[in-house]
Amino acid sequence: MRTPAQTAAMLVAGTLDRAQWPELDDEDFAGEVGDRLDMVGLELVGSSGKWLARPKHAPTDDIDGFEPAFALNTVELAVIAALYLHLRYLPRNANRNENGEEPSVAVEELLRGFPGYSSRFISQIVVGHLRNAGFVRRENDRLYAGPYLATLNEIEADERSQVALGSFQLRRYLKQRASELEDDHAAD
Amino acid sequence: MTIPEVHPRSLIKFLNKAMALAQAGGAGDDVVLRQFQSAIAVLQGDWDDLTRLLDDHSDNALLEAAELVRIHVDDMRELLDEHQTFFAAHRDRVDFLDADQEALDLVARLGTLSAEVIQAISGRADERMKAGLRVDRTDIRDFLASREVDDLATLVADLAAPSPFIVAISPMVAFDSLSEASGRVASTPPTMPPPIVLTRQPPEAILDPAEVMRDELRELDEPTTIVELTVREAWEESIARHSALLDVYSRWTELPDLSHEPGWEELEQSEVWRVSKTTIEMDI
Repeated sequence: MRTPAQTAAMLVAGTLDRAQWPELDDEDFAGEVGDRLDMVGLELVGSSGKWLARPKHAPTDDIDGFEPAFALNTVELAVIAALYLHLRYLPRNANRNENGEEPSVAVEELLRGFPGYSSRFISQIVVGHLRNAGFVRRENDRLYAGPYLATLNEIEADERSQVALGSFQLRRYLKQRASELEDDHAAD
Repeated sequence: MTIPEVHPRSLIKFLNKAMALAQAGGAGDDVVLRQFQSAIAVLQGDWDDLTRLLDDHSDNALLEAAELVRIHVDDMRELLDEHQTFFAAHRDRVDFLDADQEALDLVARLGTLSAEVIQAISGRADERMKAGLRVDRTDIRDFLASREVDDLATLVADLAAPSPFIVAISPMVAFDSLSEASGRVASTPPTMPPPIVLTRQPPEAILDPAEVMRDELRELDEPTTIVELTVREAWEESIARHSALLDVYSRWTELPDLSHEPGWEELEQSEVWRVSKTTIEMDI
């Protein structure tokens, strides 16, 4: 007999396979589990075939006496952003039919976004850490979204991605126009 | 020319008035030209600023620069209109023509670019621009490569939190694991075989062909030709003996004299074709 207390305890230690935990599809049961998680700042989320507990707010490490057991450094966050753009934002915004296949990106493609870092550091150390933390899955030379990447607040993340990518594309276009105008001047 | 306390926005307008005053005051053409070139330099600086700001991340700074450029472009157009007669009167001077051409070109370039910047930043991009903003894999790749990791990290900084994953450890499992681990025996390398005494073998004696030939020479008791001494049936043996003979005469002294005669001895009984006629005499 599975109880909400046991389930909540398991969710702070790992993820639960959605297919094998039909109890969590029951509103009352899930509500009780959610209440218990809520008491320690977590929320119950279903994502990519998994049930998992997600911190409601990213913990800040500037509180006196607090030392996070797990923290994401800047490079890891940057790789999460890159994975989000490739695996979540692009499939939604590229108007492409991926034949229903799960979005994925080649490790080689991810590395191109980080030319200043060694491929071993990004592909093994950083991606390895993110795989252990549940943000990415690796199968052969391709990367797939892990359950924690799927739980990013996509409205907020999409908005930021759109602003950043839009600004990038706009400037790239304007620089191209400036170059064309200069070329026209040189031709005259 | 120095321009004291003039707001950047009014620089070209100021230079326009300065040119008008210089002409009215009867200043030379070169003075007016220098003022005009100062106005062109302002526009060139605008172009440099605007293209530099395209690499900057601040939309506000880019928009402000574009607005200023637009004002300068309008002022330059006004300047060119007001001094049209003056420029027309100096069509025969190359420096005036060059400056006029440079100004017109900058006005055209800056006018176009500033208008497109303002339109784009203000969110009034036309359909062509909107179509260009569709995202594909290349855009993502170029975007990621153009950004520092700090910039990228801010995209998800407060959205991505690490999983809680508090590891639950059973004391029983932990101590069983410790017991199993401590019972393991560290691997050791196999023992070395006992030492054995090696017996020394003298090296195999190898005869020096030159020494053998020298002894043969010394045992000769009558004049002998080189053919008789060195040539044997096989080529290899013959040439080896001949080489040994040459070696003997190069290494030792007090050997029988050699007497040479012109011509060759041609042989039929061996693989040697012919040998110079040389005899080993017995008088040392």
